[in-house]
Formats: sequence, structure tokens, C-alpha cells
Amino acid sequence: MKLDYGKYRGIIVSIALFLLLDASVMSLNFYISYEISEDAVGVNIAGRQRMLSQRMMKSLLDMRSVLVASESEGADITSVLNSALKELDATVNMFHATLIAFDEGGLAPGAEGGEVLLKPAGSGASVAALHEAKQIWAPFYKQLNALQKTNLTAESQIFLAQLNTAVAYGREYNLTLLKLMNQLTGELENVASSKASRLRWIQTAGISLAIINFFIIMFHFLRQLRDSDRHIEVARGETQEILDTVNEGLFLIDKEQRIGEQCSKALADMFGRRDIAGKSFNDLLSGIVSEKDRATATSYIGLLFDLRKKQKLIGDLNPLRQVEIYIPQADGSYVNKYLSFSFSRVMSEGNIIHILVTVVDVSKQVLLAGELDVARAQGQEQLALLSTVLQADSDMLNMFLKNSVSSFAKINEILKHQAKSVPQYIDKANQIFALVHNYKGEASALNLGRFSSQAHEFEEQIIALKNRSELTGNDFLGLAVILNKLIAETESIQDLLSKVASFRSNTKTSVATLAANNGDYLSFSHLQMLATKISERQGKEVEVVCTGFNDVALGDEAQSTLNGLAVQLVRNAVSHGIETCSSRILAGKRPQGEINLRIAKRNNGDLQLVCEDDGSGLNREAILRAALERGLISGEEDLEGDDRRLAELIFHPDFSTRDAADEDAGRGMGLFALRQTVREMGGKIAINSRNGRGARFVVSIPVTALQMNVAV
Amino acid sequence: MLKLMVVDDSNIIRSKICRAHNADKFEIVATATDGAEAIAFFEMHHPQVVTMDLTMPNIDGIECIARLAAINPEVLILVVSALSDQATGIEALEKGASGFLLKPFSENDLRAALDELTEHLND
Amino acid sequence: MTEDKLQIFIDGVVRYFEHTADNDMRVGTPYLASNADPISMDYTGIIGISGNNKGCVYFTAPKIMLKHLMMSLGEPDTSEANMIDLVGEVANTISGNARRELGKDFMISVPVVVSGAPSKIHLPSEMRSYVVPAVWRSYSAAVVICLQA
Repeated sequence: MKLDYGKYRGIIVSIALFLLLDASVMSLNFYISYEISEDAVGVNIAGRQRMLSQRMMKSLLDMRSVLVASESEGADITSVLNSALKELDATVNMFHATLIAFDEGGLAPGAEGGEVLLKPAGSGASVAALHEAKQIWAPFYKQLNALQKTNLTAESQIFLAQLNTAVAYGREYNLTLLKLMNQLTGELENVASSKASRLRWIQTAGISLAIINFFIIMFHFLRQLRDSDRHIEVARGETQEILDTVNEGLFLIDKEQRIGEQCSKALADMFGRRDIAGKSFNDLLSGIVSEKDRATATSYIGLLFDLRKKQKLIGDLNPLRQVEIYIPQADGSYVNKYLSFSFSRVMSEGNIIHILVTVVDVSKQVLLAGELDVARAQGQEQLALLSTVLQADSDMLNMFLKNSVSSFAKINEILKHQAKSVPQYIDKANQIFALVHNYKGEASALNLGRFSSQAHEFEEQIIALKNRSELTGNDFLGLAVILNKLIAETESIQDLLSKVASFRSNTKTSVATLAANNGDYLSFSHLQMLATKISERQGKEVEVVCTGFNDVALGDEAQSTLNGLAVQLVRNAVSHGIETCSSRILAGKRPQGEINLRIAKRNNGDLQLVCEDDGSGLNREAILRAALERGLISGEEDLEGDDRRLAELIFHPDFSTRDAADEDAGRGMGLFALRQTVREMGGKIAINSRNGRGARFVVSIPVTALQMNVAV
Repeated sequence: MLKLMVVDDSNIIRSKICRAHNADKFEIVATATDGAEAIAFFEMHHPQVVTMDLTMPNIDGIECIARLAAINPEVLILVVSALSDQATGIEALEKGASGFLLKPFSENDLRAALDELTEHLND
Repeated sequence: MTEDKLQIFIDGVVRYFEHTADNDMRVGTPYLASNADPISMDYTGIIGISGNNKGCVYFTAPKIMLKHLMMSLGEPDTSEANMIDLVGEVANTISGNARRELGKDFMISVPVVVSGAPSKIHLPSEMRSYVVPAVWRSYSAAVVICLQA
């Protein structure tokens, strides 16, 4: 990192100044202290001069008194005098050397042996004192030296005379000399103490300056620190505000794909967690996107850190550009949302140091787009349904839907009722088949191809089921699935119709009223439509002639039931009774077959539905062959003339004379379904057949079971 | 001039790239219809820039990218592909391609992508 | 919701009961139930599902069945905590099985066990759910599957 010297110049200068001051005060201190210690030596030695001058005087006086005493007593005093002279000589020389050293600078005997170097005395007072002392000292010094040179035994008289002279001189000047040496000492002391006080001043000043400097530094430094802290604080505050406010999730990831320490607050809401900072990006995605997307994202970020890959040219590879995430909730459910991640490189000096990740919650947009798609698809589907529905007669359609709903409920009840054995399961399948078959017939009669083909699919599944060697509840799963689908479609068509009905009631009230009035009577014109449709597929032509339909007025329930029965009868007659046009021509009949459908109320209170065709009649041989093939009868059984047994065979759920099943017939279940319905209502079915001339089915149902309203 | 090789099994795409590229900057030195051809032409003409389809007969795009990058690590490869799956595109880049252009693309898209791919060679 | 996918959830339960001593679990015939009136017994283990199909799958069982089941597994302690554990275990097996089979398309949550019926949050009322009875000895539990589309 580069240091910004400009920013720190003030503080650097201040600190340098502080150090300089400290250093100079210290060196001055050192120097002056040295001087003071030198001066102390001078003072000491000057003090010694005083003592020496007195000692000299004392030696002289001592010598004279010894001499005077020896004259009177006659004792030998030579040795005493010699040692006294020797001592005097040392004292005199020391005094002299010291005086010269003070005056001219030079070596002087030290206080503890050795020598000390003295500087020439500087101040005026000391120079004057030295000068005077020298004048006094010079003659004295001569006299004292003369004493040393005189032979004590040979010239004792001369010595005495010289001693007397010296004593006399000494007496006269001794005090002056002492005074002068005192002056010198005092002066030297003054010089030393003035230096010491100067030193104190310098120290005081230096320390004061240092303290001032210190405060300046502190002040500056603290202010700068505070300023920069405040700046940082402001900047951080702003960053935080931004991160707390933006709607996007923002964070950085490093080369190790770890999330940075700072991330925007929106992230916590997006991901439903707060511990995002410092986590690895991979961990963040764990469990909320698919494993595959997670792995792809890791590779993609790897590419972003590779400078050779062009950032602008890899945007299409971002697997998280729009991703659905699933956030587990405490109650075990998931909240899902759509997030859009975008990644951009953060460059520094030509290197990619981070990837900035921006996350936007695009759930609303995506859901809106999804809803639009669903609405569009639904619109198309509803349009298709609508076109189907609008072709059909509305009353018939309502009846059909109502029947459907109740059939579905019945099927579900059958499913719900648990079976315990394989025969029970088979029975269950048969019951369901009968209901589905009826439904298919009605759908087909109303030309609702969509529903009839679904019902056909349903039937196929039941057949497949019955062909299994083992049968368990689980095998019925497919039936539940298709039932669910049928229910859903029926609900949506009902929904659609109620919308259309409200539209109709607003605009075409009169038509609606008319339709309602007609509703009391059965309108079975759709039966011709059904017959035509089936016969066309089979190369036949059929006319359906209905009679008695307007003689009885029926409730909705009864209408539905009768309609279901009529549909089955007509289907059966077209598929199994009426021959193809070419066969009819060969047999000498009209190419167009005829089915007579009659409803009549009988005296015993039964309602009778008769379906008579002019087809080939029941083909006894074909029935027996088919029954044999399907294992319904054994080869030995003799059914000759047993019409009852024959009828039982054709009503058996596994029976059909047609080889392949299609939407119209071939299951053999049609008649079974018919019988189921009739039996449920306590009715009966009778069959008459004339070979090559036709067959007649007579269905009788008690009125009470039909809750019939007889018209006036 | 930069030498450009176009690798795509589709005639239409090849001619579109040949038509759309910036002729002041690129010179088409080869067009290849599959990976094997691409490798042969690459060694013959030494193109600096390659546009590469991913789904091709013989040697597929990913494998081809790896081989070209092994021959010349400096080659700039632009993957041009209808992306069924991002992981495949990422793999192509990991193998040595430098950019990805999603099909279908406009002529402008292609020019911009080639410029971006070679932008660091401008000076 | 296709039959195959529904089957995966049923298989989960079957797989769990393979561990019982007699391995005598029978799947009953599936039927539909309105979500307005959800099927529930004493304890219910719920698995949240998200992804291509959203909704939930739950396993619900009566107390008495759990008690016997636990004993057949050799666990004498039939406390409430253990029953909840057991239902959670079954739900776990279901979710584990589903995760293995459908992992890529589905996000499957960790099961949550509740007493009684799952709340409305889990079952959108406009839909129907598939009820698959699971009969063990004389008791009947159920896997209920309610998934969109």
C-alpha cells in the first residue's frame, strides 16, 4: 500500500521537531554538565590554594620556633628542619604550580594525586585576584626557594636570617594572599553556579518547548484522527444506508467463492436467513436450488474469475439468470420465489478481485408471465370446450354434466370401499366399468368427443386391470388418476357453462324461458345423432324412431336414467343388431336400418322402455363361440333352446362378440352396464330375438324407482 | 487482419457468419463442417479466431475446442450455439473457449461478439 | 400428476413396511378426497413438495395401529413421543424414496409431524387429493397426495 505523505506531513514535521528539541536539550545538558564538573574541580583546587598558603605560613613559623628553641637548649635540630623544609617545598611547589595553571592554563596537581588540566581563569575578578596574588607570590616564592638552597648546618645563621625574612614577608602578605585565593575560589564558584542556573534555564525552556510541541502534535493528530474517523463513519453510514435500503440483494464473492462481510439487507428477506455474510456461495444455494443449477453456478463463477473469458460474452451461460428457489418453512412447506442473479467483475489494477452479485426478486414478473401463459392456454382450452358445448343442446348438456358428476361420485365411492379379495376387486372394476361405459355413451350421444375418448381411455385401463393375474388395490391408482382428470374437466366445463348461462340470461331471457318450459319432457333427438355417428363409423345407416317420449313427463333424475338406458340400447342395437348397408342389401332388406324406441307407462305402474331393431337378431352361434373363447361356458354345455342362459351370457361383463374394442362397442360391457343400472332400480330386462329379422329389448322399471311425474 | 475460421455443420449459419463478419478486421481462412475438418484446417491455416458450433458430427464442439486449445492456447474461440443446457456451454468455456453467442443471432450480434472477443488485440 | 409419480410415494410406504416382521402391508384402492374435508387420523407426517409439482404428501395413521406397529418392531415404549417418531420415520422413508426418484425436479422438505389433520396451508381447497389406504393387519392408515398439475 502506498503511503500518502502529504496527509501525514504535519505530524511527521512535528515529531521530527520534537526529537530535535529533545536531542539539543540533551546535548547542551551534557556539555554544560561537563563544564560544571570541570568548574567544580577548579573550585576545589582554588580552595586548596587557601589551605596551602596557610600551611606554608605555619611551616615557616614552626621552623623558626624550632630554631629559637634549639639555640637555647643546644639540641640537634637538623633532621627536624630537613623534614620541615621538605614538606614546605612540596606545599610551595603545589601552590606555585596551581597558581600558574590558574593564570595561564595547564596542569595542576590533582586533589587525589595525579594532575588535572585547568583552563586559564576567565572572569575579570579572578584575573585581577590572580594578578595581585602573583605579584605578592613572586618575591615570597624566591625567599622560600632560597631557604631550600641554604645549607642548614654550615650556614645556619644565613638560614635563620632568610627564614626571618620569609616569616616577615609572610606575616605581612599572608592574609592578603589568603584573601585573594578566597576571591578566586568565590569567583570560580560564581561561574559554576551561573552555568548551573543557565543549564536549568535551558532544560526548562527545552522541556517547555517539547511539551508545547507534544500538545501541538496531540492536537493535530487527534483532530486528523477524529476527522478521518468522522469521514469513515459518514462513509460507512452511507454504505450501510445504501445496503439497508436497496431492494436488490448485493454482495461480493471472492475467488474461493466466499461471500463478503457486507451484504444488503434485502438478502435476508430473499433467502429467509441472516447468516449470509462470510458463507460460501455454494452453501447459500444449497437446498434452495436444484443440485444441477448449484454445480453449474459454481462453474460459471469460476469462468468469471478467468480473465481470458469475455464477461460480455458469457452472460447467456448464467444458470441463475432466472431461477426458482424454494425456501423451507418451519411447518414443512416451501415458499418458492423467482430470483435473478447477475454477476459482474470487480477489477483492480487489471486483476479480478471480486465478483459483485446482484440479486433481484422477480417473482411477481415471472408469476404474472406464468399466469398470462396459463390464462392463454386456459382460454384456448375453454374455447375448444365452448365450441363443443355450444353444439350440444343445453338441457341435454346440463343433464349430462349432472349425470357425470354423480357417476364420478359413485366411482369414487366404489374405489373408496375397500376390497379384500381378487373377486371383490374384479367386481369393483366391473362396477366402475359399467358407470364409465354409461358415461361414455352419453358423451358420445351428445357428440362430446373429448369426453367420450377420455372415457374410452378409462375403459381401456379397466380392461387392462381385469387382465392381470394378480390384482391389488395399488393397481387401481391409474383409475383414480384418470377419474381426477375427468372430474377436473367436468368442473371446468360447468364453470364455463355457468359463465355462459349468466351471459345468456342477461341477453336471451326469452330463449332461456322457452328452454325451461320444454324441460319437462324428454327430448331424445340426440339419440338419432348418436346412432348416425356410430353407424357412419361402421358403414351402416340407421334411423331412430322415438315414440311416447312426450306422453310422460319425468323429473330430472328419471330423465337422466332413462336417457342413459336409451343411449346404451341404441348403441347396442347399432353396433350389434343393424347390419352394414351391403349386408342388408344382400339379405334383401332396405339399406337403412331402423330402430324403434318407445316409452310407455304400463298399468302395473312400470315404465317400459322398448328398443326394437330390424337387424340380424342375436347370433346364437357367434354368442356361443365367443362365450367358449372367453371361458364363460364349457364345450360340453348344451345351450340349445335355452334363451335364458343365452341372455345371461350376453349380459356377462366379460362378453363381447366383436373382436376388437373401439369407442362404440366390443367390451361386452355395454349390456352389463345396462343390467347394472336396471337392477339397481329393481327393474327387469327381457330380450326377444328373431334370427335375421331383428331383436327387441324390453326394459321395465318400477315408477317408484324413477320418481316419475305422470303428465296430465 | 485477424485470421478467422468458421466451424458449423449448418450451411445457413456458416454463410451467415461469412456474410456478417467485419471484413475490415477479419479474413476468413477456412470454414469447417465438423470437428475433424476444423482440426485439420486449424493446423493448416493457423487462424487466431474461431467460431464454433457445439453439436456437430464426428468430433463434437467441446472436444474440438479442447484440441484447438491444446494446439494453440492463445486461440480465441467463440461458441455459437443454441443452448439447451447452460452446463454444456460452461464446459465449452472451461475447455478453452472465450465467449458464447446464443443462436439465433442477428448479424449485429455476431459483429459485436467478434469485436468483444478480440477487443484486447486492438492496440 | 402422473400415475408414475404417485406410485413413487406409495412405494415409499411399502418400503417402510418391508422392515416389519410380517411385511404384511396391503395397498388399498386409491380414491379421491376433497381438500375441503381432508382425511386425517391421529398422527400425520407431512412432507412439503415444491418444484415442478407443488403441494404436499402426508402419511396419516391411527394411534392404535402405530402402537401395534411399534410393538411389532420390538419397541416396548409406546409413548406419544415415540409415535410421533414413528410417523416421522414413515414420512422420512417416503420423502427419501421420492428424493431418490424425483430429486432433480422436486424439492422435498424434511417431514413435520402433527397430531390430526394438516392445516389449510398445505391443502389448497379447490383441489382434490389422492388417498391411498395402507392396510396393515386390521388397521388402516393412508398416504394422501395433493400435488398441483
